[in-house]
Amino acid sequence: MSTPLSARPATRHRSANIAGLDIFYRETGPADAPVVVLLHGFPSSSHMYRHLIPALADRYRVIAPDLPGFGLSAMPPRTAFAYGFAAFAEIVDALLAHLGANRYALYVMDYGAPVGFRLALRHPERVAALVVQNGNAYDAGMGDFWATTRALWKDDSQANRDAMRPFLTIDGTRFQYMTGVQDIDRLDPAAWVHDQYFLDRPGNADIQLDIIVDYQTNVALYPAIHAYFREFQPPTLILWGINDPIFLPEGAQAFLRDLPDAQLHYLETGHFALEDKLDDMLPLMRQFFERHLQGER
Amino acid sequence: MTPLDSIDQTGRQHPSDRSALTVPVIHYKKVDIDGVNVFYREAGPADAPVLLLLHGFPTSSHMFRNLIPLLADRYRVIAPDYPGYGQSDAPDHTAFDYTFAKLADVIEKFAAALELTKYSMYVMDYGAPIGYRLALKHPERVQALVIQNGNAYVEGLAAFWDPIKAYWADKSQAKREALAHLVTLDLTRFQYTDGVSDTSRISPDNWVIDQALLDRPGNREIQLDLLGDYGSNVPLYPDFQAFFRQYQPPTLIVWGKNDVIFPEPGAHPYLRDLPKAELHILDSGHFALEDKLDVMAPLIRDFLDRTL
Repeated sequence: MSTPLSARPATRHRSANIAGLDIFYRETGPADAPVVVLLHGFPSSSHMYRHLIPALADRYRVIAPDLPGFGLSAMPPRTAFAYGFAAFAEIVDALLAHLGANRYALYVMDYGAPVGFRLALRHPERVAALVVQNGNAYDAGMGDFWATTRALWKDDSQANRDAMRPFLTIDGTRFQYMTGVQDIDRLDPAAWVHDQYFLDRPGNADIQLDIIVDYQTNVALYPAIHAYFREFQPPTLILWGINDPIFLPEGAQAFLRDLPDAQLHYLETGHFALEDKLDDMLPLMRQFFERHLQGER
Repeated sequence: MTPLDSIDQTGRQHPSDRSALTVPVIHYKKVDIDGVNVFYREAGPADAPVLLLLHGFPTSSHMFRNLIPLLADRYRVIAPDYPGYGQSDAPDHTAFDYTFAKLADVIEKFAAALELTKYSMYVMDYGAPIGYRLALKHPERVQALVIQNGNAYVEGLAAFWDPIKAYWADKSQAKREALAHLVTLDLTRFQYTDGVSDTSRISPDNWVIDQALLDRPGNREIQLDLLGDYGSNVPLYPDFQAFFRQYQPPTLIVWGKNDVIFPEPGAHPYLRDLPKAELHILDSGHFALEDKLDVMAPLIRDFLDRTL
């Protein structure tokens, strides 16, 4: 039976204290439903899932955290917190334990991908399914866009840090949302207004640069992530904005080497595909979850 | 591989629950009105009855982001941002008259630019005097009203308004500066959370987006100008009421009863002039859509379906 949109559960906005940090998360759906965890990308937060969350709320318990330094989660000074993907995975792991979620599907995008894959390496048995959207795990996905970042990885100098700073301005943020999008009038400007508000906080730029430096630790883990894919064969749906300059479609195709049964759908859009292609993505996701989360919980 | 060509298309071919698979597409556009770009959200069939959503202070069409998809299957929903708000241009206050008369003019021209000749209006807070001024210009165009914490009676202006009334009476710098707290993050958050029993339903996106825009250089002066001009609406209340009496637009009133800005005593007097109006008092605050959408959306749909 169909559920009228207006009858769906409301989204809740909450914080939990995880390892001394206030971690903000959006949550909706029946408490006993299969869990879908949404892990956001840079420079956004769970805000990027604002339209997807209510569209899953009738059948799934949806949990979308903000990583430390992003959105409404705590932003401890970089001297007090080791900003990086190991810490992010640890915090998300602890949050999910706190919320009693010990089996879940993961929707991973951009930064959410290494966070989610690290979570899977810790607890492969907990991952019921993966939705991978412009979230990378293969060298093939990283092209020329990464030249400035690779230089920074090679030499974490002030000059190389400063070369990344334009990426943290409103122009960089808008670029991430607009590049590769065909129908610009499908883009809600709230996306970049929201993200830039948090990026412009005093001290946030240096935090973001620390995280960008740490991203190289994810690349080093790619072989371990591939081995996890091969061994556990999690049901996987790959939804990929084909015009994303940050994570190229070659990176999507590469998943099929280790996950030959994965479904791959290219979308005629860019990095933040949910902004303009939710109408195409939602049916694919709901069908996928219906098939693979049946019997969960 | 072409877009949406897929290795496994079976999912797309056998949708088991069509409504759960559908999300309406929202368009985010701009139109030039006398040199000012007016931003608006639009969704729904082009030939459907039009519902104009007129926002309150200090927000924008963003306040309607969750309502729009719930109406877009049957209505052409259009939500503009006034100049100075949201994604519309915000010319400096020395170069643009930030008055309710001017904002109503802009929305009148906006409606003309979009060739809207008949419409229903959802009015809230600042949206009420703007919508009612538009109704006075073109009463025959108004097909129905949804009124949510939007005032047209002096009974509705309570203590919250005392410092603002003081500025209306004395347009001094001191009285103006006394209102400056109304554009701060604390007050913006207060507008969303005060009077709400379950604040976990309130998305912090509200004050993040509103405050990011209020904090733009020069926006404070725009807001203080408009707070100062709100007094120009009060002398028009008798005209608004005469419009209600004479035209009897079908009206649904949904009112957050815990709103200290436009409290419940402002809701009931509408029934004097609109005896057939449907009145629903909600256990909510000023921005009732944020926590009571699940109650309000069915009321609004049912009302519009019966009326249009």
